[in-house]
Amino acid sequence: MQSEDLLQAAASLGMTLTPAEREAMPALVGRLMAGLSALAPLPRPDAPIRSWSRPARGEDPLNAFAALTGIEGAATGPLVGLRIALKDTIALAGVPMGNGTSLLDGFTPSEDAPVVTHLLAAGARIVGKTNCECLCASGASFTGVNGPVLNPWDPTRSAGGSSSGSAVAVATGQADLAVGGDQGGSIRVPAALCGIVGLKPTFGRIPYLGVATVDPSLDHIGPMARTARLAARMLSVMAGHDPRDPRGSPDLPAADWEAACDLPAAGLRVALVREGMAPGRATSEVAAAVRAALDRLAGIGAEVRQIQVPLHARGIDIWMPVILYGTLAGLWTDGVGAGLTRDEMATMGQHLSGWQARGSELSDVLRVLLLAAEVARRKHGFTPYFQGHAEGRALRAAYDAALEEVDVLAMPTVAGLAGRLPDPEASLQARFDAAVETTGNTAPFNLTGHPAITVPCGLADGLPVGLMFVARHGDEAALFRAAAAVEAVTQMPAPPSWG
Amino acid sequence: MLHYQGLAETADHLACGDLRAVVLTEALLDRIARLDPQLRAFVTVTADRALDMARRADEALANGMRLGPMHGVPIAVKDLFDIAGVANTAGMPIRSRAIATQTATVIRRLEAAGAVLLGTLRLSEGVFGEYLPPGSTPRNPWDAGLWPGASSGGSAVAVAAGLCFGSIASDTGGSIRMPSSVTGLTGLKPGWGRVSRHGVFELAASLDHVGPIARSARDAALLMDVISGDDPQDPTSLALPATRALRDLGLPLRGLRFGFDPAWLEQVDPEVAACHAGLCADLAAEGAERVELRLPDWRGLAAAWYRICAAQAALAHRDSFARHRDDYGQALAGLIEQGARLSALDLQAALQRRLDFTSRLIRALAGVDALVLPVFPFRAPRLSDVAAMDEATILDLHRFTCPVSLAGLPAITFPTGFDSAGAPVGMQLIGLPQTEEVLLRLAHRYQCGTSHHEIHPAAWP
Repeated sequence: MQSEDLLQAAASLGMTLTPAEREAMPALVGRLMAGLSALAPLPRPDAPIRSWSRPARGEDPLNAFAALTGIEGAATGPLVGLRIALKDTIALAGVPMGNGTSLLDGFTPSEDAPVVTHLLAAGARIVGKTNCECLCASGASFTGVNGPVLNPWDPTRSAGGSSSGSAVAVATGQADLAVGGDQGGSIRVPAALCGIVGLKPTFGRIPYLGVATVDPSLDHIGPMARTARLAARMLSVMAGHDPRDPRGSPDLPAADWEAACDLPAAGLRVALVREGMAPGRATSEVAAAVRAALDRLAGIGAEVRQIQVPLHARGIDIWMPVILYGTLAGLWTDGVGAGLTRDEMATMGQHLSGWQARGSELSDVLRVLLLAAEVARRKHGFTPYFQGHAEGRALRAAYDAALEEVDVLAMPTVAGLAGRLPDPEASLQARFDAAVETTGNTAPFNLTGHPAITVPCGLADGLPVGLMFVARHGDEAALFRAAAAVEAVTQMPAPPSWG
Repeated sequence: MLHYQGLAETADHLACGDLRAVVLTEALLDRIARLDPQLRAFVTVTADRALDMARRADEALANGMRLGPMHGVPIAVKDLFDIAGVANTAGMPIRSRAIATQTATVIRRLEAAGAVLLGTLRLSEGVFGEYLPPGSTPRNPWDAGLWPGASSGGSAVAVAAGLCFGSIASDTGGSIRMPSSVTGLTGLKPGWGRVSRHGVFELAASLDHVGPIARSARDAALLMDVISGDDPQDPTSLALPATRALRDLGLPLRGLRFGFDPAWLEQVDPEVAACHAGLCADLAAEGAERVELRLPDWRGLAAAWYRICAAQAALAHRDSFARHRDDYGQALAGLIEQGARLSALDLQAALQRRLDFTSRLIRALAGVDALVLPVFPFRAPRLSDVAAMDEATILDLHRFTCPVSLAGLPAITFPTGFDSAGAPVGMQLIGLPQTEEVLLRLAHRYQCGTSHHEIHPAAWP
């Protein structure tokens, strides 16, 4: 091997080679590398032929979809007759997958993610892959390579992210259900800004296999639907331990979540988290809408009180090192994640390999995050990542303590209403702020693993407001009970029709 | 031969370090120095800027970084884009020292993608018809007696003779498509508004379109992906993201439909008609379905185009013409004077014809992905033919290009063969708004099965 390459590699590791090492390294490194070239090439099974298309002009005016499909599921099952859209991070065999970036151009998965297999077996029809933010790294819908995703309530505004297209597809009725992914709020934020229901389940509830990872300790996928009941039904199909997923656990028993939607609101104990309503976590219109909804809940018998969880104010800061380092580490493992070795994700990894040379193709927001992570890593090593997890355990304990007295915690899902999509020429600061400002209340629960649901609780200035409930680990039933109760006392109009 | 290699292919070689940008740029600058005195494609060769950019590309790659999808690729642009510090002459002698102080969005996007800008390319005066000064008409590398097309003559000649890997030009009544056709190139006139006109010298605002000229649909697709998309600095640009044409280029054609109206093909030279028929047969053989269409009447459309163009040009030159009238060439001056004298009613009649035609055309194309049309109703004109053309023939020259400009629909032209005099013959595919990606796919598919676009003029190796 070229000694110049060796020296460069050594320098990047901070190694200065002694003369003896410089003498011996080429042969030793060469010997180890020789073993690599003897490896069998990655299997590339043929992808099944599935018919798909890009949306034609005028067909998808809000830009929700990257690809349209018409894949029929089983003839019978709980999801028969329902159309499902999949975030473009989820492997759907035979259909190109983009994860919001041009780096994956040419990648078509050869195998369905297990959750897709379950959804099809339940009778659902898959109608497409939805546009998402560039490598999932934005809470606003303007960083994906296919262009901004527009909010159905006002197409000059963000639909939220990173499961932007999934939320829009459900809100407009282009799909009945959607699968989203959530590492910091990426299901709940777009669901709230588009006026639909979105659930980040308990960590490990739904197998995260055949899905592009961000950080294995934060990865969740979950259902998005127009009603709590449909989301519950979808969860029943998606949930279940898969021993191949190290995130999962066999100790998460399922429950009858659809039935939970019918539980009476009377006696439901709700605690509004004061820190979740603080300036920076809730604008006045959002706070007013949330309070009004909780008043209406109280009016049908729920017990609503206020509670303080001081550590919640620090929640996003405790989560931040985990997402920063996780995103960087994920890219260092070509997007696959060390220890996660399924073949079709490895093929995806081959496309991402060499991403460092194509940094110009990443969104400007992601470039800020990656740079911050790398600078932090050089200065502090991986310690902040572990600090985040350690303090995250204290954070979890704080929410658990709060949940001892009540069934669910409550707070706004997103601090404000859907913001205007930033101009491509806007300052980097403005664009970055727009991308991250939505996740203050949602992010902590990705780290602690508590299940959290957003349900639309009204409009302010014509834009939807989402109310988020959080429950104990494993207690999605309480979330569905609470969400259905809010639906019962809230009249949400349909979004204006834009195409 | 490196200089005739594909743009996309060259971009790949540069991006993985097989080729150094400085070496390639120097080779092309050398070729330009040797051959352009006879070809007359360039107005300004921006050698320093090009080498700076090439050096930047090589340094970036040495640090493991690709600047963008056009990393180190040498291209040139029609001389009507503002480039700060460089003259934007728009082919007008009075503008030979008009140094721009801003940079057009399209140029910024190209350079942000890593492109190396070799210089600006010759065009006819004011983007209209006449090359000035006399004797400066770019030379068609296929045959010096052949017209190089207008107004983007230099932009086509440079690409056809291997002086650059692609160019960006403009089309108001055929100015990308005609030069591309007579030089055997692939030129895309996108739909109106699909590419920003910020910093672009105006001929007629509602008819001007910016687009790429290249040696293949694949190359044109790469260029289009870089230059297209919403630009807040040009509020008339469509609020859509950039195209993703390169990504889906190879998708099969099954399910696509193309059409033509036999009535439109009456009074067309038999050799041109034969190329048209050949293209239709090839598209059908690739799996696209052929449909017969009934299009609105084409008669009078070129004349309507001329009136609208004249009025808008008169407006664009209002101040300049008043002050420098004597320094304007005859053709452009004639256009401006006619435009200024046009009565409101006559202009309105032209605008209404435009509206009527556009609406009818869009309805007629509702069931197809592409309309197949020739570029010219006759074979590639010779310079002597063009010099002697009367007004009726000039209008007829534009029979198939002006109506598409009027309607603002995207159109791609690519070579489909040679006529009995050895001149390239181009055909157009026209689509409904925002179908640039489909048109590029159709052209690419055709080029995968044919080799007309791979033949280069033997006299300029």
